Amino acid sequence: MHRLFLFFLILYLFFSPVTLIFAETMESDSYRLRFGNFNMTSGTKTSASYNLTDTVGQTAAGLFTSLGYSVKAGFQYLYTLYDFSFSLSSLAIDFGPLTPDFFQTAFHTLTVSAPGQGYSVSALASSRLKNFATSDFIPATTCNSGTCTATTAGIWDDTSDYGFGYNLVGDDISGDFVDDTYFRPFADASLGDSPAVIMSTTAAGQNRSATITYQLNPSASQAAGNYSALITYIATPTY
Amino acid sequence: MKARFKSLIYCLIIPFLLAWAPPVSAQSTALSITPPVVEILLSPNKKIIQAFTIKNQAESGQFVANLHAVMPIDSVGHVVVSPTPLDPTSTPLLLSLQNINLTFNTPFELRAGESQQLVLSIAGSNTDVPIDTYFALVVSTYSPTNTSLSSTVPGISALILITLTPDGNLPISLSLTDFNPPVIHDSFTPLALQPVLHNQTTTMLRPEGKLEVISPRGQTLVSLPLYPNLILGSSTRTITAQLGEPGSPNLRESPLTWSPSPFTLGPYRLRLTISTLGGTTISETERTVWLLPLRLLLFFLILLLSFLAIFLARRHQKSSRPTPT
Repeated sequence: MHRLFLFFLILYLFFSPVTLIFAETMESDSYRLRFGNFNMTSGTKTSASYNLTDTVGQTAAGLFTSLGYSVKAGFQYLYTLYDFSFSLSSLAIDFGPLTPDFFQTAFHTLTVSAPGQGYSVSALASSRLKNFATSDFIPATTCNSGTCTATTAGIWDDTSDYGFGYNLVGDDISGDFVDDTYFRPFADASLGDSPAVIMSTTAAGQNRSATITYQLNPSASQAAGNYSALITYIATPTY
Repeated sequence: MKARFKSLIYCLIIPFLLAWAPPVSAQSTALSITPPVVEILLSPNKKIIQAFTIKNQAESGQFVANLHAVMPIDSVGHVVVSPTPLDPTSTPLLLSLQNINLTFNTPFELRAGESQQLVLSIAGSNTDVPIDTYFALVVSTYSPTNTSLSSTVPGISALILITLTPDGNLPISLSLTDFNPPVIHDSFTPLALQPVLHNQTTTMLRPEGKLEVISPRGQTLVSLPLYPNLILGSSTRTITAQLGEPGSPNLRESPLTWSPSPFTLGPYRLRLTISTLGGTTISETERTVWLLPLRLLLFFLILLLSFLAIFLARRHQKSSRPTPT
């Protein structure tokens, strides 16, 4: 009887489908499993006040260090991991036909995810809004009575002050954008300006977003034509 | 008749074509880059390879990769990226992309959801003294310069911080500023400190340290470990505290703050020790702060003044009452 049981056990083990199992990242169009693995229990447990993630039964989890190296082994370390990313809702800024002495606006959304110690986003215009056929340009705004610069925002709600500028509302924006009436002109690469920091933080965060409002107010004496500029935004991680 | 027929055809065809035209939406861009920050200690005449993975998380598009110099702009670890690409002759390094089909400043296609690995080769030139080079790998959308429309060029960057050293011996010279706690502090409020370390060498350092609070009896009440922030050459960094065990996933930095017990009284010493990663003490600075329960004292003073005012008012009432004749 005992031998018969042993025979069937060996037979079962021999013919049972055996495949190699790797702890690796598995992906499909809808899912991403990072370092899939067997353990006793794991996951995210939540209540009204708490959010707990756990992994029980994983072998060789923990921090291993030697001179010059440190290995963070274990799934709990994954919760700190997300990529440094930056997105912009649109690549075009189109004000359409312009009316003198009237504020025209356009919007974009900037979104940053930064692990570690935060990030900064800087902005720089290639030049003032320029008509490349005639070399005419729309000046950068100086806000109401010249109160703003490329690094300091000022109130701009007076339609007798002409120009092009931007406002920011949202997460991690520069403190000088007090509310949606505060504007700055873009730092201008053609004048040798350095890029101006518009969003920054020293904290890690996901999907930190801000809305940038471009505002344009041409004067009645502005020559007709197509005016354009290239605005460069660079997201940089904190070191 | 022919003209009428043509008009009729146009009237029928144009709305039909418009109805079947694909919807046009403003193109967005979303990029991620990993690793975001790389620190390298390199010997002369040695080469290393570092791969960066760029992922396009939005629509398909064309992108360009470039190297730009970076400069620290504040004391909390932010840098500004130079608007012009790095001049390769300005660095003591030989930098190139190892990808067969990619070069710097040449557009490449990246479809929606796809990743591209950029393999950067960094070779150190010969040098007798340690030299630091800080630059960023910037990947941005490709934008033709002759466009007549205003447009944006979003870009994402990864920092590459390199120390080129012939023997591994790095100079250490740090100076401490703004470690100026008040002479008297209210023990009911937290004591916030914002000391700044200035790296006076041209090579980056990552010092450690601790802030100790020592009671008038000489007992160490608190020992706060400092966050081992990197300080680039010739730059400053505000000192912060470290929360969580070193190497743990929950390791965070927080402002350097000590919350004393409300009834703490007397001269307390704040000792700030800065050391190397190996544990050698670089500097030790002490400041004394008198802790007094100022709010409690103020409360009792107001109470005392109130009693005194009531007492004086009653006394005045008594003295001004007409005496019976």
